[in-house]
Parts: sequence; C-alpha cells; structure tokens
Amino acid sequence: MNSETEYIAEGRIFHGFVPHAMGTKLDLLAVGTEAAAAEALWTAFCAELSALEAALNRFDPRSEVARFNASESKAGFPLSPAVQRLLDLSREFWFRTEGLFDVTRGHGMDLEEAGATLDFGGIAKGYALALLRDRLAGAGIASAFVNFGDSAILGLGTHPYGDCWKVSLPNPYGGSQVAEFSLKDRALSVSGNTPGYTGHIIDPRTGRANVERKLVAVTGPDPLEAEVLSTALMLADKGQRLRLRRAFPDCESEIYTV
Amino acid sequence: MEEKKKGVDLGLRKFIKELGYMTGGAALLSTTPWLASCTPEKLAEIGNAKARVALIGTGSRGQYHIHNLRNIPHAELVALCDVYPANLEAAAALCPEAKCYTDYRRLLEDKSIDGVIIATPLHLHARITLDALAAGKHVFCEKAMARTLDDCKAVYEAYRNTDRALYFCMQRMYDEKYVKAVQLISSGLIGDVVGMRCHWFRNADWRREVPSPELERHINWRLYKEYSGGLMTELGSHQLEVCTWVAGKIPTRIAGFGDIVYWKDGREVYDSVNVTYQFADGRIISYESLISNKYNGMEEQILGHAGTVDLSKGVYYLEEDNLVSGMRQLLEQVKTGVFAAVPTAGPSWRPELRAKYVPHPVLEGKFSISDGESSVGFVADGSDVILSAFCQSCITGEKAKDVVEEAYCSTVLCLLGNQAMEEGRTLTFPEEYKIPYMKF
Repeated sequence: MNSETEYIAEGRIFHGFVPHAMGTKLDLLAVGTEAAAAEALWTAFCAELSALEAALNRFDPRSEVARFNASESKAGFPLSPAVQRLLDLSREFWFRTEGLFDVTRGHGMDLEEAGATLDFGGIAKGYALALLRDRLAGAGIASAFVNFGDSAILGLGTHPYGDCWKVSLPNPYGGSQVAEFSLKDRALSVSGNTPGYTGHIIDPRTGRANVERKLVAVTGPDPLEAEVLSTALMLADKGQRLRLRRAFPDCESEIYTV
Repeated sequence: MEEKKKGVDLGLRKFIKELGYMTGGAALLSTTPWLASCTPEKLAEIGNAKARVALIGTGSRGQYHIHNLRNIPHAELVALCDVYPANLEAAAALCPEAKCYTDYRRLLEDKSIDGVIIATPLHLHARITLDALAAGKHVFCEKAMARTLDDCKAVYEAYRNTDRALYFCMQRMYDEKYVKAVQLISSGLIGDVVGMRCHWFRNADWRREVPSPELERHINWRLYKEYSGGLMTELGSHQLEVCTWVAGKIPTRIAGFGDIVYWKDGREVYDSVNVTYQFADGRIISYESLISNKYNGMEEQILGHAGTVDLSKGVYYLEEDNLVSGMRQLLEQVKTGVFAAVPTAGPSWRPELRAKYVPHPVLEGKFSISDGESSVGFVADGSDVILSAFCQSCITGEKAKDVVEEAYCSTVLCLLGNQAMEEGRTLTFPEEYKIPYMKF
C-alpha cells in the first residue's frame, strides 16, 4: 500500500497519508510522538489496512468477500477470523438498526438465502478507524486526528493548540457550511449524497437508491457505531429515527437537508 | 403621480454602503468609481428634489424605463417623444401627465427639462445625445454609444467639453452581483485572469411585428446596417464592457467571422458572430453570439488560473477546491500554532467521481439572473439603479466617473469586431480611436 509520511519535529507531530485505500484516502496526524514509534505504528497499520482491503474488496475477484459471494455453498465457506468478526458485528448492528444496516444487501443477514452477498462498504472504514484507534492507544498516543475520506473522522485528545479537534461540514452542493463539530475522543461519520455521487446508499428493504439531498452526521465514541448509525439514519423514517437514537445512546446525530 | 416608495435600488445602495464601511470607501474608488456619485449619503442630500426628465424613443425599451422611473422617488417624467405614433400613444397611456412630442428638437427647447433619456435606434444615439448636451440637458442614452466609430469619438469629445452628466446604459456596472464579482476577481479569488469567454445565444428571429410593409426598416431597425451594428452592438456591447472592466485594459488585435446562417429573411446584419480580441499581453476575449440556437444561453466567464467567475450567473468555481483541503489546513495550523475548524467532513471523498467544480454564489441570498432571452430587459439587472443614478445626477450635476469611457471602449470594440468580420482580416486597434482612458 502506497503511503507518505512526514515528521514535524517541533511539536512532535507525525503525519501519515495513504492516497488510495477503500476507494478514498486516509490521513493520520499524531501529536506528541517520537518519529520512530509513529513510523512503526504507521507501517503496522498500513499492513493491516492493506490486508483488510484485500479481504473486503468485493470488486476484486481474488478477495475473500468476492470469493464468498461467488461460492455455491456459503455455509461451508471458511471465513477468516477478521471477516467472521466483521460479520458478527454486522449481525449485531443489523439487529440494532431494525434491518436498516444490512451487509447482505437486503437478505436479512440470511446468507443461505438465494442471491445473498456480502458488502462491508458501510462499515469497513469505521472498522479500520477502530483498529487505528487501538494501535494509537497501545503506543501511548493520546492526541491524534484521523480522516478517512472525509466521511469517517476520529479526533482523539486535543489539537495541540486547542481543547478538542474542530471539524466543519461544508455543503457539498455549494454555499455556506452546514455544521461544525468539536471532537475529543470522538468519531464523526457523515453519510449523504453529493452533486457528483448520488444514489450510493441502497435501502435494503426496497433495493432502491436514496437520492435525497440530505446529509447525516453522527458523532460518538465508537467509529463503528457512528458509521453504522449515519447510514441507517439516511434510510430511517420518523419512528425509526427515534428508536435508532435510543438504540445508540452514546451517539449524537443530526440530519440536514441541503 | 402615485406615491413612490423610497428607492427600488435600496439593495445596491445598501451594498455600496457596506463597501464603504468595509474598506473606508477605497473599494469604491478602485473597481467601481462610478458608484461614488450615487451613494446613500448623496441620495439623502438631495432631499425631496425631483429630476424633470424626458424620454425620447418610446418603444419597448423606452417603456421599460418608464416602469423603472415610476419607482424612482427623485424622478418625474415630464415629456415623451417619438416619431412612431403607436409607441408614443402606448407610452402616453403609461404616463398621461407627460407632454408628447414628435420632434426631439422641440422637446429640447423646454428649459424646464433637466435630463433626457434616449432609447431610440442606435443610429440616432449620437445626434440626439450631441443635440441634447448642446441644449444643456443631462443625458442618459441606451447602449451602444453610437453606430459609427466617428460618432463615438464625437460623443466622447462632446462629453469632455461639457459640464452635463452623460450616462450610457451599461447596467452591469450597477448590478450588485457584477460589482461584487469584479471585486472578488480583483481581490485575487481566481488568481491571474488568463482569458475571457462571453457568449449570448438565443433562438428567435429578433423581429418585431410590422403593421405595414413600409415600416419594416423602421420597426426592425436592428436587422439593417444603416441603423444597427447587429448582435455586436445590441448584445455584445454589454459583455465586452464587462471584459474591459475586469481587465482594466483594451485589446489590441481583433479578428472574427460572421454571417447570416439561418435567418435569411432579407436582413443585413449577421445572425452568427464569433470575434476574438487579443490583449497586448496575449490574453484573449472569445466572443460568440448566435440567434438560431439557445443551448448555451448567456454567459460571461472570467477565467483565472485558480478559478472561474461566471458574472452573468453570479457564481464562481475554483480550479481545485481541494487545494486548501482540510488536512492541508490542519497541517498548516499545527505548524503555525493556530486552532480552528477544518472544513473536511462530508460524504465519502472519491478520487474518480468527485464533483470537480462546485458553484459558489457571489452574493448571499437571492439575486436576479437573466437567461438572456429577453430583448427588452429584466427585473433588477442594474438598469433601474443606473437610471436612478442618472436622475440623481440631474439634480446634483455630478458626473458618474468612467461610465462614458467604458461605453466608448465597449462600443468601439463592437464596431471593430464588425469591421474585422466584414473585411475578413485581423485589425490592430486604430490610433485615431484611442482615448487617454484606455490602457493597452
């Protein structure tokens, strides 16, 4: 996996950048770290991210998920521990979101059902962020900012000159900003449509793409929960929104019409 | 006359006021010096005074001005003049209190008239303007300035030697979205201006209904060279003015092609024109107009190395919105000790499908945008504000800086464009039509 790194000795700040991962880019800014320690952490994370992408990319016929999706007998398919873990997590989230978050693309997590295939696109970035968060904690790095493709963001500790990390959400259709978030040991996940990319969130109940000019932003301590909830809220009706917010009590969410 | 509410043009005046507050008035003097004569303070100074104005030429554009005059508190329309009875009657019905004339020279003899508004066919602009200035009237004349280069020069010279105010209806100079956009351009928003592209496309024959055949040339004057410079003077003059306003310079070389492509109905002026103007530094204005296809509409694009402003739509686009991406900003922050929000959150960033050009509005809130289809004018396009500024000048006697000069520059460029197309050669800007205002 291609990556670039830079170390700013003054402030002991490490910047790592992956230009292409899971269809987007990733930036890590780690504050208060030695260069060597950060490099080691970064190298290990990049390897992990690379392996994850190789396993989950359903468009790559060699990936585990693609081979699983193509297999005749899904029950007998030996899943790796990492993918099995993601599947278990996804099943739990499917339940908590009343089926709105569904990695089986409308098959209600029933992998035996004809046509059921796996797509971890709605959880993979959050999962990768959780892995990186754990590595940072393990290395004793308390302040860091991670941006995975703008839609999955993690702010740990504080900005070197502030009391949190501040992120704003510009309106993708132009005009003024939609919202601003203060992150301190919290993740931010944004779902929605943009002028150039609309209809990528599919309602598992109908198979139809959501094309609303709408943004959902969720913050919470767990990047996985935030990512799952932001996707589910894109599709939820009024009653479901209320119940979803109760089912994810650690998260704060907002829906914007843009 | 009905009670007029104080100012249709409050919007722009409010804007002028804000400009003044923001920059101590310096902005007014740099990109828009003509606005200095119609500030809210100066409007307040005239109190309840009213300009007594007359309208010469009562066709569709003249009647459009009548509607605007009704909303200008410091204006009183006291006389009308036209040689075409049907238009004069229609205008008289709009303002029955105005005295009607069929000979503008008789109208000019009325000493109680402060200023005249000229909305006649183009070939009459120069003669009536010169006569009106000679009669001591302030003058507001429709664009373009005149039908010929020599007439333009004569009007310009007369203006240099008069204390009367003279306006040509270059309404974009008084249109808030243009004013703001040009300010943004001079502030470096789109980097170095590297070129300009203007076009005006319609799909219509440009004809008016003629009640009787002998009136054809009279009513459809736009189609005949004796009276009209065709698409260049009727449409191009506005757009080329914007280009010279932005560039602060005049092109030195002119080349183009034009012809009657579709409306082969006996008209003499081209229905398709394509003229290239080149500045001495190499930059180009590409001008195009066609009236048998309207797909491209009307646009005035100022191209900068860092972005594009579409003046007519009041929006700008940046070449690389990502250049100041959130992460880059954040890195800059931690290096320089700044703490602020970084604008980086959003739906997933995708390298291949990212919408590259996001329109950013030049003004906040709603503003008026023309689709370019009307041949009369549209609401709040600056025509009302410039007319109001003229009426103010009729009272104060203060000239509006640069308006005549800008009208001269754009009209001369239009006429040179016609000449280049007709002669099929590249022209160099003629020495005899240069004026001190022009920078090359």
